[in-house]
Amino acid sequence: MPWFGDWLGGGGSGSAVVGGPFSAGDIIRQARTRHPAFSDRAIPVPVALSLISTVQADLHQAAQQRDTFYVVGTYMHLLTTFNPAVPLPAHAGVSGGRVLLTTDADGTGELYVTSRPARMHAPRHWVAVLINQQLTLVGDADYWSNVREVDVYYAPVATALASEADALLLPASAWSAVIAALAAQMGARCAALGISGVDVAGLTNQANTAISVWLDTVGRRGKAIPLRLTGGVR
Amino acid sequence: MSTPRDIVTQALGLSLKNRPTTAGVENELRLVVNRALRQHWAAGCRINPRYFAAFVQVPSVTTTWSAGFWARPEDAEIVFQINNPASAAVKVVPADQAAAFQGYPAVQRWDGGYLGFNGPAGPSPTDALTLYYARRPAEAAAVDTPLDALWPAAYDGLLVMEVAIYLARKDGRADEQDALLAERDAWFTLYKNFLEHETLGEERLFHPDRFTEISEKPLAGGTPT
Repeated sequence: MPWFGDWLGGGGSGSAVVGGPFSAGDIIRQARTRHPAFSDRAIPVPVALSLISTVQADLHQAAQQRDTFYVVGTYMHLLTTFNPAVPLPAHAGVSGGRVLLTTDADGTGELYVTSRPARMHAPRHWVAVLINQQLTLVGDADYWSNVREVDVYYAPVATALASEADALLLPASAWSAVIAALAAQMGARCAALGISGVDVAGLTNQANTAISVWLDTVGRRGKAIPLRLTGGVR
Repeated sequence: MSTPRDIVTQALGLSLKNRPTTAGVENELRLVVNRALRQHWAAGCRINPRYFAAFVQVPSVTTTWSAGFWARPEDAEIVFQINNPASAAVKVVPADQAAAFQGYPAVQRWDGGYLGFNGPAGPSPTDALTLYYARRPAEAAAVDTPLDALWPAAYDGLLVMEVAIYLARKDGRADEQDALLAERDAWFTLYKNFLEHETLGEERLFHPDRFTEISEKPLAGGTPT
């Protein structure tokens, strides 16, 4: 699925394309049906796009905090010429990565993204630290000489949605949460317009419930217990 | 369909103090009927613009504005929809917010018509736009010319009362006016209710698109209750 990025299937160099399974227009049309006041006239599409952009950014960041792998893109950094600085695309978080060794026969290795103080204690060879939104490979050119490519798994940022055709970053499981959250924002706007009969508190409660359920799904509570052979490096 | 003569005849019968009319008076009262028709028709357009609907294709004029200008039809009371040649809706937006609507066909209100932005989504300066609007009534040119066919004849009583009020006021018969005004308001309520309920069971996703409160009241003949 496109919202995973293309790293599961391997791929060439460059950034993975990341997009969710539904468009901004899908969500806006669904949210409008939550109240008869949520018409085009009360909430023009440019306003709805602005609201849904904020809703998505908030939900995405909250989900990223609960599971750094919940939505992942891949940035492929070639080491044909050694360059320790990996200029990542705008990202909400970095999850880790892998290194591709010089020949296919040599296989791949795990890339560990650590904090700067912990980098010397990382359990494997290939370590990078994130400094000032830029990933820096630890070691010199000799150290990385048998690595031809570094693939970094990162969570992209949720950028502003500019048209109804734009795809959301959020995965399919966020359907109800993002609709309810947008409906709550629409309700607040209609109340500000002086339209009576909009239960803003009720819409907000529904949104909070849907968001809470979804974030639980993203985090540990909604999942099967993951099998780990070793501890993480966080 | 009634004529102004029918309306005037009924109005004269509402008071013993009215006298038979002359040709000059008939013509004067024809103008009163036309004025009352325009007034209540306009009020009706604000309640149910689609009841009085018409449409016309308006060519663009680019002599003054290179982005295109589309004139409002002369008989338009309320324009409620504009389509481009591809039958897509053209939004009417304020000039200072046009940038937010660049992805949509859009125009702004200007000089009794509409001015284009020549934005990426159009309309292009040479497009002809189709305007859907609530029209104004055709006025009766003579006392025996039928009223506009779209006027709901069941509510002729409203026009009759306006003529009777005019005669009473002109004669200084203040004692009759209150009763006539009350009856006029009752007729207006019936007319308003008709326009609000002429078709039932319309399914809507959103609130009705009303231009004003539904308690729109007539303007002439004194202050309605």
